[in-house]
Amino acid sequence: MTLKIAVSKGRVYEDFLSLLKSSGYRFKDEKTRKLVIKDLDNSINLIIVKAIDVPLYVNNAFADLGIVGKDIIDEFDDLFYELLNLEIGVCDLCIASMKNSKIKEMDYLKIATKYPKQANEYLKFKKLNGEVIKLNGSVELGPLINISDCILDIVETGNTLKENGLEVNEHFKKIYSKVIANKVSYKTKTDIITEFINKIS
Amino acid sequence: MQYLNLEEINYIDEKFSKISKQFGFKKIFPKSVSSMEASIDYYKNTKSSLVKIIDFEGEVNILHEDPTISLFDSKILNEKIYYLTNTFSWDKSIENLKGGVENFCEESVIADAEIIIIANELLKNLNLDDFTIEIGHTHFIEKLLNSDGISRSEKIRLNNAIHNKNIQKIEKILNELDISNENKNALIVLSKLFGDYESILKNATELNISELKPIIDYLTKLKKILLIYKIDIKKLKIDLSLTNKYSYYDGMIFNSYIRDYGKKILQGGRYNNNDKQGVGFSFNILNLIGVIKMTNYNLAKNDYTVITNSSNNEKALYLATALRENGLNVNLMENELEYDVIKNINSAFILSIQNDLVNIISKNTNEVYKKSYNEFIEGINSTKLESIH
Repeated sequence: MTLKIAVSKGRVYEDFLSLLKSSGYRFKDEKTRKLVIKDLDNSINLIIVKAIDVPLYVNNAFADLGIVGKDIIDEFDDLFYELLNLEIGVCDLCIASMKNSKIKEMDYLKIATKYPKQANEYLKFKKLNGEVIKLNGSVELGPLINISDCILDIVETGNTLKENGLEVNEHFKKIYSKVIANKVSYKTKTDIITEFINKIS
Repeated sequence: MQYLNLEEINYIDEKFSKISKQFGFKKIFPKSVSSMEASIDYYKNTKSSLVKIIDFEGEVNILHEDPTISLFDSKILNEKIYYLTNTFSWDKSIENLKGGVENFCEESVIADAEIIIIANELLKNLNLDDFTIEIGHTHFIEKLLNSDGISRSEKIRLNNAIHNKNIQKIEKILNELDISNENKNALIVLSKLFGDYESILKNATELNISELKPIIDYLTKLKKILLIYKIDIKKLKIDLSLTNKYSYYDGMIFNSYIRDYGKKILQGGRYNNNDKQGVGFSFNILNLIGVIKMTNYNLAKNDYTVITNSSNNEKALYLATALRENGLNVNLMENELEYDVIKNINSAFILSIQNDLVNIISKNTNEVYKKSYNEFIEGINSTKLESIH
């Protein structure tokens, strides 16, 4: 039986592939631009998708498992099992604003973000009034053109922030990739999923 | 979707009604609208997806997402009922169709077993051979989380982590808590306690926690009764960390699912709310139709399609008439016998005529066979319907 795994494309996919190889999985054509990669023993099929689509693939059973960052997982409620934390795709979810802006003194905060649910959680956690502006990309534009006071976004090196005159104000949470599972797949394919988890952990 | 296929719904309704009646349940039609005030407490976890309507006096009402909740507001007591009704939610397709059974009765393991058996019989009768029924108990987690040393917010965090089977998070939270090692271990083991009924029951017994004994005794009794009903024990599983999005469940809960269909196809359990106690289950009819189609079983099993072209019109008309005279539904279609045509036909049998032979395609089994035309017609007219295939 083959395990279908939806993997977030980009760095997470590359790091996950290395993890699979070091766990004994063998591949022939992983460097191609194919969107479905099979291992040589045909025990796993990797489906390469955009990070935001990984939960949807898993929830709708197009994939049994998914490899995706906690930043994406926390935007969804209770749709899947979270089986394992991986030491890949590690970064921070941060609040950032223009240098020298005084957002800590503001009692009403406008946050531009790709993560509206977590931005609302941040406002609630800080007991602040404010509003969340959902953007799908180039979030740094928010404070630059006065759409928002700050942004909530993932920060790896901080270079993009620096180039746009922004700086980190606060680290909200640590982000890493996780293995998530479709709830029915986990029950009907328990043995092969457990074997896979044991192999990579 | 602009309309629902009533024939497909009737197919499920017929099977469901037959089984429910066999167990002494009567059919009712639950109301869809209730005042928001009367029902909102039951929708604690799903209130943002409720469809609301405001009447002329400004009173807010809801269109029910869960028919069981609409029955809490009724005068039904000590009755066994079943239903098919519309439900509403902003979550997905706004309007949906659900079926369900409820036995409004006091706590009884016999009544609980009966509800599980009705679910089992329904899925069996719909030819969904690959289904599993998974049983849990809401008190199992509750008892373990009620230890001293766990605050309310920690309970919620732990409950979520157990629900998501996030063992690393469970371990992290437990390490921060001041509770006995016995309970810590039980909570870690709990999220792994799912699988075959017999072995999980044995593992749970071995935990040797006195508070859990009544639940283990209950599950043992339940198994005994289900076996008297001749349930296939291989189809029964236990998940002791099972939870349900509706907060009214109190006691045994269960789900059913089928391999490669990523959603639950049926769910239910026991509830105890003020004056309403009972046990029941419900299912989304459109999901069930989807599963049946996925398993390639044809819903219109008494239907025939006769494909005809100009070379055999006359014989095709005689054939269609003979079938109809014997009470069968026949769709006469002027077309060629091609893959694309066959693929889209929703009948149990497709017949076509080639010289003196009838080609028969069974959509249920994907078998193709031939019979002599005269023999076939004779078989129909002598009402030996089984002999024509």
